[in-house]
Amino acid sequence: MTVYYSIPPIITVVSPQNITYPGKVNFNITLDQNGGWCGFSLDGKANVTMSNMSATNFNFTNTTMTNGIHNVVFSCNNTDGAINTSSLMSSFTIDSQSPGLNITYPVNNQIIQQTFQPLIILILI
Amino acid sequence: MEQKNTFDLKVIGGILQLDYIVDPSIGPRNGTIFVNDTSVGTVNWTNPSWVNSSDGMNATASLGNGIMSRYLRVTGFGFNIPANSGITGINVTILKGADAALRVSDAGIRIVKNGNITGSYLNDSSAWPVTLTYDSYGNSTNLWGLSWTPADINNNTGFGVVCLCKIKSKHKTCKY
Repeated sequence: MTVYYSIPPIITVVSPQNITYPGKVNFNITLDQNGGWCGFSLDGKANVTMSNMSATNFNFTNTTMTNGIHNVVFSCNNTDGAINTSSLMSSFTIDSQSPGLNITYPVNNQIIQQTFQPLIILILI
Repeated sequence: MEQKNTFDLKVIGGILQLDYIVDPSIGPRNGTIFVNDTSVGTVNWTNPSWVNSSDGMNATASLGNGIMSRYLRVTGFGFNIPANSGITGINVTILKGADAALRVSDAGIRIVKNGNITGSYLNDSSAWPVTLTYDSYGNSTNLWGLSWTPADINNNTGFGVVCLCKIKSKHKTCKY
């Protein structure tokens, strides 16, 4: 008896990378073979199904990310359906807060006086 | 043994490597557990364990008119498919013969999954030859009508195949 089987796809994470994002995050991966299904688990939560841009490229855009450090694990089946594999966990940070602006000078209600000397130029023709 | 083939296409001026990867396979493997399964048929198999090799010592069932053998059940193939793999096909090769031409045929070539005889019948409708001859059932994309996980295949005592033969005319003997 001979049993034939297929091996799981290798996942390459295009995005997110291990950097800080200002808000919206694009989850994007590529595979070394045709995928049947791909999804990701964000911070240990249930898998989110990704859209296939092509047979080997899957994508999902999240516009409601919360601030802080996040971990994501991707999983994919190949077209045989029964195969599943996971990439290594990827870490990234969301920081959507605008930077604080603190005016140190002039202070509030301060009156600033400055003397001006007029400059007169005569032009004789 | 796992097989994964890469073919090199040589061209003038260098080597252009053409990575053509085929699905890996394990086998062929012989079974190690042989049982005269009485769930179907009427004629018992004599020496069912003799089906394990092509040494001329055969498991036999001597049939009467219109009578079917019992199932000859073979398991214990010892597969070890990686856990995260997907099963794409199962092929079974059986060495079989009858003591007279055109008298015996397959009645039930089926798979054993988790100890149960199930799935499609992959019978070959042609009559068995007198000379012991290999017959192939299934292929690299045939799942015998079932879905599989690696655990199903790696179930050593629960995964296998059953063979059932029937008389086509007059009293004859099936041999595996």
